Amino acid sequence: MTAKPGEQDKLLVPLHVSYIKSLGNNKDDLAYHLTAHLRMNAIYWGLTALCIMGHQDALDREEMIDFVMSCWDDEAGGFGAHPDHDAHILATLSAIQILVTQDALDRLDVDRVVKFILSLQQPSGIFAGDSFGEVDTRFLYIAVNALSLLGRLSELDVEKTVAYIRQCQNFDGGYGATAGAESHAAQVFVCVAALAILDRLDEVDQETLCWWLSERQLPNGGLNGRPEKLEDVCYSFWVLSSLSILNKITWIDSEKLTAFILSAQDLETGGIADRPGDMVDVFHTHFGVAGLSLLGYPGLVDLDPVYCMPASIIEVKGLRKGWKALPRRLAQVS
Amino acid sequence: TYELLVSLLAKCPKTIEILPGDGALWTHSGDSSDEATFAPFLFLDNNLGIPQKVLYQAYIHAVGVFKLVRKSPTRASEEIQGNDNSPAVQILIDSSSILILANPSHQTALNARKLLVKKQLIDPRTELCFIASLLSSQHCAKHAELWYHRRWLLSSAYETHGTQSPTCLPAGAGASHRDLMFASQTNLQQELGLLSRACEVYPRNYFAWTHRLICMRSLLSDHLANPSKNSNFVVILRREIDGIKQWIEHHVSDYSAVHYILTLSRDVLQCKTLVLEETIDEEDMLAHAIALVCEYPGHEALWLYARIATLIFDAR
Amino acid sequence: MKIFLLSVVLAPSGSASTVLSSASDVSSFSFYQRGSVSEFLTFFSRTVVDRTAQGQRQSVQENNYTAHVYNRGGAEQLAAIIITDQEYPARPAFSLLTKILDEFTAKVPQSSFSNPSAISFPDIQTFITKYQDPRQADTIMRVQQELDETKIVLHKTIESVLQRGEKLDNLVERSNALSAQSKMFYKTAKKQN
Ligand SMILES: CC(C)=CCC/C(C)=C/CC/C(C)=C/CC/C(C)=C/COP(=O)(O)OP(=O)(O)O
Repeated sequence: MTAKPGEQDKLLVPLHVSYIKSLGNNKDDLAYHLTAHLRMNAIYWGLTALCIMGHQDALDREEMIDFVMSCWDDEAGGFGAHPDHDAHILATLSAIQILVTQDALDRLDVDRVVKFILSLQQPSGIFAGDSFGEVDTRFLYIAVNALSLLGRLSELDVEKTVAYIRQCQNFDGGYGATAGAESHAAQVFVCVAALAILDRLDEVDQETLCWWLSERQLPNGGLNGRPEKLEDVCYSFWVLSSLSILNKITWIDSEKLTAFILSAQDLETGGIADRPGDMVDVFHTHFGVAGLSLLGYPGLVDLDPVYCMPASIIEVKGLRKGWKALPRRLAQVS
Repeated sequence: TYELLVSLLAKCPKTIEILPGDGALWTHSGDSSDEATFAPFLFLDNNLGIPQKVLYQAYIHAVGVFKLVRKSPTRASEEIQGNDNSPAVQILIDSSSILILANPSHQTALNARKLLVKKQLIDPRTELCFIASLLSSQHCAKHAELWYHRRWLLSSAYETHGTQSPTCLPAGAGASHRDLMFASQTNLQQELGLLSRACEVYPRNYFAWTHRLICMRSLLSDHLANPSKNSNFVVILRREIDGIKQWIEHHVSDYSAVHYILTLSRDVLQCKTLVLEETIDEEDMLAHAIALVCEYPGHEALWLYARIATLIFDAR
Repeated sequence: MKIFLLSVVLAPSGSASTVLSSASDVSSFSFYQRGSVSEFLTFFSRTVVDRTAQGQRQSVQENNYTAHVYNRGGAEQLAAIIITDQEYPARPAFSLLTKILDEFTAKVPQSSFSNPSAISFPDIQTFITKYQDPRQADTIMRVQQELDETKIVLHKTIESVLQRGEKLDNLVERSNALSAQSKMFYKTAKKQN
């Protein structure tokens, strides 16, 4: 299956679906082994992209849930990325997101996971990724997101958590990986989304930050993650989600960005790359599709930018925040 | 070749480089005896070159070995309480070194090595040397996990001072909760040298610049806790500020460096000690930023430098 | 901000060019990459000079490099080329090219052009070291009113200076000046950051 002529300026949904389905096929490949430490995340990315394209059922539900459960690390009380890997908060959130999307939370020992997550908060308020102590605002967002999805946010020390995010705010209004670290669009997302979940967006210097975020767009339409770096499809999500949470998604040129994302599709194998001509992967495929959903691309399902999951699932849980994406456009009849 | 690669990595090479293609492209048997000894690797003046295909074959092998040794009957690393002679320890060290080289975000392999350090089965200084070798390669230099591993080692290798971070600095300014400590001037100079190289091989290296700030904040908080003992800090700080200003002149699109110097200056000013405040010449820094913008007006990094320098220093 | 290569080239119109004097600085590259980078700098500069008409100034970007070339022509039929990273500004680069051509013609007799290996022009080494900081070139720039930036053609990729039907990949593949290792580096090189 390859794209027909004239289709390259459209999202090639069937091709991307078959690309995502093919990912688990070659378990002996070098590529499989080199990405084993990201397997749980990859399944979450693949599943979410499928949901957004309206093909949730393309991957086998039972098989997926079994895989997730095979990564449970009973000693730590969290999930690893792959059966023989140590538990880590990164894989743990992905596992929870998969179980929520597949409506299979009953398989989870919620108390133990909550305990694991809460045990990772440091005196300063930041979270570590595992018991070895690496800290990052990514892990803080993950903790907040996971606790919220599990309905256990009340057990979090919110003041302490927010206080740490406050220390990460830089002169440009952005946030970094730790207090003092440079602003980075992905780290801005994790901090802003965490504040959104905690109903503390008043912490954000919105004008300064949104100005900085909209400066991420380059003349070719793509977005970069920090000043004078190359554009990359994944920032379509990190920047757009932050802007939509702050209700300023119109501050970037949506037409040019849409064209940029579409130009990074592989017309033969399916999938989306970081930029045109590069190798595709499931990470960029997911964040490209996620970006297009926020841009109102026709035919896609709504994505919740705060949780990066299908919006309907978050709404049903009563967790929807006041974000605003671009209105869904109607497909053009050709 | 797996064993040979393991032994070369253990030599703590000055630089490591992953070369495209397979071994045959890089070594022509018989050219020299050295070459024959190390084929399919290159090893000249302590610089290690590893053909990519050979590395990935070794990686696949290491995945199997690592999994086995961790498995039976429980995790090997937990089992082997302080027993140096256990072959399992060496197998774990060897296989994880290859896993990390080929895949620097392999958290589980890094964890296995931290456990061995904790059990005194790996000397943290040897491990620091290994990580320094890895960070010399473009392929590894940008990975957050390696920089964190390094900080974890620094606080294990050298005694940490138990002092709390001063209130003028963000909490946990050091490592996760402990501050770093450098045993001597030489250690610090080594660290800063390593950092500059890592930012040269991978420009605007996010986690390397973050690591640099953490190192300087550690010294700063150490100085504040004990000003007389650490009077040297003033000299270090002055040299650092001048050095980074020069760096910016030669890397005009490097906002990471700009962010670093501004944040470090703000930290120092916030801590309000007279000696230190004198090392930050606000007017000079602002003039520096503006001169650079005029010289190279096409750079977003420099505009931000000028804008933010104005903001911080005007506020005072 | 770096200068990697600076060369003075004999570029007679209609026939192949010859490098008369050259200096390079590849110290910022990793140990085993340096040899290939040097080969590439030479290959890149030759490809660009050969496609620059007499009297023309142009800039060509390729990957993380920018080449600025000035083919001055004239009685000496000389051209000069500088290869820098993308931060190095164009104006001082062109001032430098004019200056090095002036100095070269003043110091090296035209009669020796036929035997390049016998040419001694150590100044080129001084140049590449001194002007790593482009602000050093300011002083020469200010006296140089002739430089009209609007006349300099900027090419965003090397492909746009190649003739129809020519492709960089093919030129690289066919080149005898590039080793197998260098060709492999070329294939895997990707634009960074
Ligand atoms: C549920 C969701 C959507 C996310 C979970 C939270 C996570 C894991 C967020 C990851 C965010 C991310 C991609 C962070 C990148 C951090 C960073 C500082 C990268 C710098 O790396 P470079 O390779 O230099 O990238 P750029 O060159 O693009 O800056």
